[in-house]
Amino acid sequence: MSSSQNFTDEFSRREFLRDASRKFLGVSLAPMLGGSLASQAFAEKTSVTKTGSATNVIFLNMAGGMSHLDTFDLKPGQDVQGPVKGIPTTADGLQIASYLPRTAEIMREVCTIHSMQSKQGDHDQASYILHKGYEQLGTIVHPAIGSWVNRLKGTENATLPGYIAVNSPANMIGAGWMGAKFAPAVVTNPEKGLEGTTRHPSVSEEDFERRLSLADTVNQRFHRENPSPNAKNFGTLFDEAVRVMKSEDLAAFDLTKETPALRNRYGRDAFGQGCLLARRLVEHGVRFTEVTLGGWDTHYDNFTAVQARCQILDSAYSTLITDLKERGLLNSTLVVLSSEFGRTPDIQKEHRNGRSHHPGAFTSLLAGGGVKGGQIYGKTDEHARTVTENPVTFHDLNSTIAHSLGLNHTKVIHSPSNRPFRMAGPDKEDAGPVIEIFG
Amino acid sequence: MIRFLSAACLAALGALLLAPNLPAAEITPEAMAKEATRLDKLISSVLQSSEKSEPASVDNATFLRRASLIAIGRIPTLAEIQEFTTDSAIDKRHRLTSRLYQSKGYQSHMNNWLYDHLRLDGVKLQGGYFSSNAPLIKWSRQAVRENKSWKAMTRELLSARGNGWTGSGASHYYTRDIGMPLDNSANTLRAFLGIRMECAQCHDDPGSKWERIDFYNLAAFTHGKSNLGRLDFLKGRGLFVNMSSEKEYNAPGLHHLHFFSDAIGQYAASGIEAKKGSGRIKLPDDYQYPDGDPGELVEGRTPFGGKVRLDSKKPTPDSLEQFATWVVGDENPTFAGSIAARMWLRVMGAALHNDDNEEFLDPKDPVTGALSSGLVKLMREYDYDLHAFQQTLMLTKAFAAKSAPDKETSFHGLLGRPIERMSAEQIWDSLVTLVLEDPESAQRIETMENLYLHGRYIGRLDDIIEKVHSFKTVKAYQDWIIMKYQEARDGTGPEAPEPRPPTYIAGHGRLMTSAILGIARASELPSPADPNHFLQKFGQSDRISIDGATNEGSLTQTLQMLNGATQEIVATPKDTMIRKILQSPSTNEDKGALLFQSILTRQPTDQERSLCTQELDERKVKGFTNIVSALVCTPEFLFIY
Repeated sequence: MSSSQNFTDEFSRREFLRDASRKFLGVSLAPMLGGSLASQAFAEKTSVTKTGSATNVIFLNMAGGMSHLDTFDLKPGQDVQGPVKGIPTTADGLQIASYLPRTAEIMREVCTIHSMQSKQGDHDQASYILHKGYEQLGTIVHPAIGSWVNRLKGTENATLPGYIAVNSPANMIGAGWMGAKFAPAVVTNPEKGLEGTTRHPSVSEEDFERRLSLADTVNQRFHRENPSPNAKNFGTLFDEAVRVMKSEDLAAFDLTKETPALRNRYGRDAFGQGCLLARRLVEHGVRFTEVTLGGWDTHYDNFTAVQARCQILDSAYSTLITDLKERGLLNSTLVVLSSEFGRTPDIQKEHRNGRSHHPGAFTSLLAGGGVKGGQIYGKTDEHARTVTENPVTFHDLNSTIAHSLGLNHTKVIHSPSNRPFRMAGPDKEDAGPVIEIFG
Repeated sequence: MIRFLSAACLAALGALLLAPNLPAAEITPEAMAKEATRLDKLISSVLQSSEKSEPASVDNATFLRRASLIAIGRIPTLAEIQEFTTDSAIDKRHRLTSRLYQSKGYQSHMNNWLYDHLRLDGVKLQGGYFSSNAPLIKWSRQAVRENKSWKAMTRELLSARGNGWTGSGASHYYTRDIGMPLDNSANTLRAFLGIRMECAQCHDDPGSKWERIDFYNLAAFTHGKSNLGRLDFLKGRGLFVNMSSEKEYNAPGLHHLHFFSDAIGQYAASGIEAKKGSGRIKLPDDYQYPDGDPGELVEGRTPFGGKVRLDSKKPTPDSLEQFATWVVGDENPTFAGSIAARMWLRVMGAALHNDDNEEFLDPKDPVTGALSSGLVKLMREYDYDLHAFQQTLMLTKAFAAKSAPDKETSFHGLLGRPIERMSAEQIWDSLVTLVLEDPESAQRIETMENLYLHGRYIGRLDDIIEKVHSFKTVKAYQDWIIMKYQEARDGTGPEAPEPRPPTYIAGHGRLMTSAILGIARASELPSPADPNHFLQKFGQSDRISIDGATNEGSLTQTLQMLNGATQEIVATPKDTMIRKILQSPSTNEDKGALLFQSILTRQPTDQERSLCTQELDERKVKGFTNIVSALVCTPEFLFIY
């Protein structure tokens, strides 16, 4: 339907041209949609097939800007290093901070990407691109990577949600234009599990059944008098909810089923237990789980604060990798650890030895999912200030996640407002998965 | 006076007519009823020419529930049900409609629409700036109270000047999008003209007629306005940047000072400067089309409607005012049509406009053109009185039609509204109706005269703002800020002139400083609600995009209905309105019937009555909670039909 008559002849002229070229010249004026330069380049690259093997993802979100210099990209002997000492790891040629001794022992399983780079130094904007692949806009909300994964790969477990987020910031994890179906189920306390899955303490099983029965009677009459696919579908959501409540799969959320010793090894804090929960969820076929560890925004007292965060990270991460490996799950689970940016090499004495935001260079870790462990990818200069080799953007990182799962990172899906989107971000010819790290 | 035209004349008219503007007070219920009849005739014509027959009307119980949800955003109370049921007047539905639109409930429900449409959210750190929309929210709520015309509201939003805290809160319309002016432009065009130009922000839109140059020509009008952040002594740089270069600012022990300073700064420095505008904008570095060069200054220029063209060679101080005038002008082809389209959708449940990418009515549409034309004309005749416009729609026969199974069979709402889930706010407000005897009794308090930071009284807001603007150097500001900070920290500051008011009054008469867990209608809670709040779980807009709300179902929602909020707030507490039914001296049979009325706005069938009686007989109090819990978990409760 054309409403161009509301406007001047200029627009009628444009519409005619657009339609004419489509019909008579067979030319599309929309090169953005569908095939792209990037997908051509990618097709060439993958002629050497190195595929990923992941069926599940655990995304560990280090919120606040994790200092790369004080964790995984050490520059021993340089002024910028400050007091942090390095220790050798089981990855050749890699030293990491002495704050992470247990992690040092499992680095043989991990690919350390030293060459992450971004242009965004603002928390919200940077975290948005990390999670969603697109720059934040005021006109549409993009789906998070967990939503994309579920949309493109579906769910494994029919009862449990395919996307679960533990303690993650609400405005970064949502499904945006993809809608409620791809929204995460939120866990705010790993010990308490999935909210709403247990009856209110005052309600016996008998009473619960009586409620369902009464509702059923009312519903039958309603559907008869007011037939509606929408209402019918909503009714099935209640059935689904009851199924989840009664499902044995809910046991996935029951951390008491693990030995106290293992729970201690993960660390008795929200992040540690969250990582343990993530492992259990993978075992129950949950496609994508995100767990957040905050507190990395160390403008003040950087070294004390980083040490404290590392204590939590060290137990949880090392135990998670080991646990997955021992259960034979590491190959099929991609474990991503990333932050929204790194921190400045220059130490700010006036902030009690703080470091500020630094998107120019920082570190992310990938393990499992077909990624070769024990390797270092990319390099930074002697101050860890700039990337000197093999830069990796969030765009590339998300493409890599897609590749690990066997997904086509160039696949275009349209929003309800008919705008084209891809899992890994906008169509850019240089961006794509880092194939070299798969082995 | 409204001009009376015959239905035939109306039907024949395809063009938009200009009619004298009416002051709101003159639109009487009788006048609205006449307009409704006229609309019904146009609707009949559309149905006839589409070979569709007019649907039957719903019964009174259904009408009551539907009208309440649409006009005031919640189910009716028992008292309201009683009033309607016992009204024997022949025009009882019209009388109900009048009552609903006169009530406070209308304001609450309309506020929700504005929060969503204008993306009104609370304080946040955005692009490095503290951005608070409290003045804008306050202004918006006042506009609803006064029934300010949409035309006046739009004009004010697009051209208000000054500090929003001390002057017109509307000046925060632009500061809401501080740091993202191009997104503001895209949202402005959508919000007020129904035009989707987001794509054209970056490239010619392959799906429509818009080109990138059009976007920049329009964005030029609002570019170069100056936020008051440009305090004189800052010499064009941000407050934080200036302050952090001063050594004493970074002294040990004073690090909380930075946040304190930013907070004071954002009060003083937010709003729009008077007599400042550019009306020009530089094309971006990646401008890729032959009709302009990257970095080229282009002028404000309107691609349709009234012709306005600013000067690319020099700034235009009143570019905002010119833009506002163009947007709301009668020559603008979509201003009236976009708000009419939105009000139609709001009341009738389905869009009359066809194209999702153009959210305005089309008088040239071959099927619905005459009706669209009539609606646009009516909006203008009403001088954009949204209250009267919506009420008129509710008076049509079409509004009372039996619902349709879905959007398609609804045929633009002309064959009945599509059966759809209520909005998050309608569900929440309906639950609140089961808890509070007077659902509108819990009101947000909006005092902004006194400035509190970290719980300490700092001073009168007007005085603080004036003081900040009086400084001539960064050093002078800094010395004063350090002093105020230390006063606040040590508790040696001035005494507050009166006790600090709570954030709002809870429905049980309790004063509450936190509205997050409060039992109050959605419009009185923070906008948007806390991320884990019931409202957000049920799809309340996050206020990032226009129409950001969704009524899609999810597992999380149904779990909440079964085991969460409905239990905590409605079923188990002993002091709720609905609990009074259990405590009343009626028979169990009557109690069951009252529960059905309270929750589903109808009498139970014989079978349902018998089941309820049995439940109350056998399970007593638990039976009561079982019935309440069961009924709120039905599509019948959660949907509008």
